[in-house]
Amino acid sequence: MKKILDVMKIEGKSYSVLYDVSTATVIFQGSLRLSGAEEYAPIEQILNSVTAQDPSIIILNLQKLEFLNSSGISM
Amino acid sequence: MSQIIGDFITCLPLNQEYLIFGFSLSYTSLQQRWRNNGISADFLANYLTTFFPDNDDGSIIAQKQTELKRAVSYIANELLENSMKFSYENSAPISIQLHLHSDRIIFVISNSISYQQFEFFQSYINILLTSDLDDLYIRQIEKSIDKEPSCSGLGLLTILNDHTTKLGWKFEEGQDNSHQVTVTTIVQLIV
Repeated sequence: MKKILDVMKIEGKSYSVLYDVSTATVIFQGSLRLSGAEEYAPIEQILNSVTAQDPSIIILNLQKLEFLNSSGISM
Repeated sequence: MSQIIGDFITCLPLNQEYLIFGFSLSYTSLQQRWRNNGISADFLANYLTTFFPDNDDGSIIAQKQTELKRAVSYIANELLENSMKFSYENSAPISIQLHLHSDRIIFVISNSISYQQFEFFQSYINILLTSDLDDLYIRQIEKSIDKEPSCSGLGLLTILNDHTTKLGWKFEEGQDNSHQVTVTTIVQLIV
């Protein structure tokens, strides 16, 4: 279980992305200004893992996401 | 060769409040320089809040100030990211200017690109200025899903689509057979 939770959390210098399994919610915090698809790949992998579990609802909590650049919008 | 596309201002109106930043491309890698985009964009936005125009009765609408601050930070960040990603290696420094006027904030950013990048950019701008922006937005998102190349193509599109802006560009070919083209981008954010 710990291994799965480790995969489902990413922390950068100015941001974090966490998947809360109990609520099927991906929580974004901080400022996302990564340089392109390659740098966003780990976060995209979390999102793909979430959809692969096929929950009936997926919630993206962006309330504490202070900044998202266009490469992040694309992701 | 000098070419102008879109809403470009050749003679900027005089004003007292402006900032100019310059970034050298020679001494650090793109990865090291990247964090400065956000630092610079946030600084520009925070600095300008001191001078946001207020209503005739002297009041400042806090929500509008917050919206403008976010818009300035987003636009400056996207312009800097584009310049950092697409500048010709070891070319002249990138410069970004912000000019504050009573009815608009004007961003001016200059950087050098290769001739090949110029041709690609020119055709993209023509698509940007002649397309339905909502349709173009969906098409660019779909292209990114299909893993088409490195850039999302959403930077300038979101500047146009999500904000009240006018965009213009000037391209000038280098004079010394350097195969570089200097591109100056002007974004007018209407306030």
